[in-house]
Amino acid sequence: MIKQLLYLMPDPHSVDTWVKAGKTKLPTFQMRIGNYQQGNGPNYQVKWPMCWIGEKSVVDKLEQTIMNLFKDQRPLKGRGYTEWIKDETIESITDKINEIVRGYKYKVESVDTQFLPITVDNVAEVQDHYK
Amino acid sequence: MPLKDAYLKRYQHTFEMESKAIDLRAMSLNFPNGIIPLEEIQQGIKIVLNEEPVVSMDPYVDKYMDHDDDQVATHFAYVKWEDLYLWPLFQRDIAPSHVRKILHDFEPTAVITACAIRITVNGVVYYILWDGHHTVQTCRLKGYSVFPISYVDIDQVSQETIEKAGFTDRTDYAVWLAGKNMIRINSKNKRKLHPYDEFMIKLETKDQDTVIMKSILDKNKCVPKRHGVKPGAFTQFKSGEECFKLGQVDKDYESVKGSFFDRALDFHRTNWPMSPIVLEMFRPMAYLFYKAWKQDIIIKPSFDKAMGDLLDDQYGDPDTCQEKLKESYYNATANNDGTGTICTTDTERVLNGLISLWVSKGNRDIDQMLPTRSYRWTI
Repeated sequence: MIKQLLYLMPDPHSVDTWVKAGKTKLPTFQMRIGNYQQGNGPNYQVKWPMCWIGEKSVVDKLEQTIMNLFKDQRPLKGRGYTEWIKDETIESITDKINEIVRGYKYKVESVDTQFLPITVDNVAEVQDHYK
Repeated sequence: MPLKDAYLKRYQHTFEMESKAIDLRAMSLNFPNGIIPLEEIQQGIKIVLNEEPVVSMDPYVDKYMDHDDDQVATHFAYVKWEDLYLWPLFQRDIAPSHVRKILHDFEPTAVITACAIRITVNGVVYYILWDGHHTVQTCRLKGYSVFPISYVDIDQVSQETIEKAGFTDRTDYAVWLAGKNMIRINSKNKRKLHPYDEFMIKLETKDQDTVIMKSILDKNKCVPKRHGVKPGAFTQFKSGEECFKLGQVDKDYESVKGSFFDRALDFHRTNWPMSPIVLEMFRPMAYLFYKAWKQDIIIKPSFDKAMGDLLDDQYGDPDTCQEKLKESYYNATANNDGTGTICTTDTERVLNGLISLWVSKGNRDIDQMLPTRSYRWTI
């Protein structure tokens, strides 16, 4: 079974309240957060403060449901823009996603708080724990 | 999209505007009696399409063209049966079964106007149909002797127009025009009636079964929708009708009409309250309840919750449930782990999967017998 992570990432520039919800497969998510870190430079640490983990096919469905339900809050078009959700904080969207998980009964689990936020510093540890 | 925003701001009740559909039902709330002027819709179409015709033309009012308008506009006449012809060069074969279908549903106020070309060949005037042939044949069976026909008068098309289209011979041009129009109307630009629109039209025109179906949807807090995104969104109208009518070939149908559909929706909404209705979960459940009734098995109310808990424990969300049950079926058939008749539809696969799951892992305290399976395996 391939596991996949659904992560939330706040806007590093914080001009407004934007949150990105994305997914990445367990074996490759080190590379994903590494790429984000590279793009943000040395003076900002990329964080995934809230994540869920589950079977790839289930996380795919969860991510699609989130994208559908938040369609009106995703006004930006173009590569790298479409997954950014406007007018949400990590806390507000976490509650809504948890409600979706319960309401659909998606078989995913929240990543253990001891591993949150996920950053480039602890990503290998998370991978080890959930593999 | 500022134009769209400005357009929508004119209305008290907002509505969806996409290139695939402008929600006219929601739009109609803005107008007295729900009747919308076409101009209002036209403006919406222009905004969505973001384009206007390069040259506007109105062949029936402003004949600005420098030649006769017959090649761009049509005439209307009631044409006698003996003047009507078919030229298979630009028409499909006739399907008597389709004629029968129209005949059994025949309604004189719903006869569409057939389309034809009018051409004179060797002194004989022919009206040759390129659309509506089945309807005309059905009307004839009903006894009609004259038929409403919209036609292009090829005799009046200028030679210049014929040559511009790449022809020298008038008849060749006529055949080309009719064939092109036939494909244009029946294939290229055909927009099939979406099941959602069909359901809503039947509902709003008070079709009895549709009204009852809608009351069952309302009872279960399901909302008819074109796309399934929101909790309880119901998009599978044809399958819904199939489940609603389960048992119609059996006696005592009236006493159970719609009940299997109702219970399957209740099962779905109770177990997955935020999910849109997933076809391959609600339909197999409706069949499960129906088959039980057929086999005189009483499904206890406690079964629904126990089955929901089992599915939750095993698979979780409704899409994953039906996918995993089908996967389990395919594994059983591939490994020869099951017995019975091979399933030919997804409904059968999931239905047999649901029963096999219950038999393998169901709550023994409930002591619930289920209908027999056509294919059985252990999950």
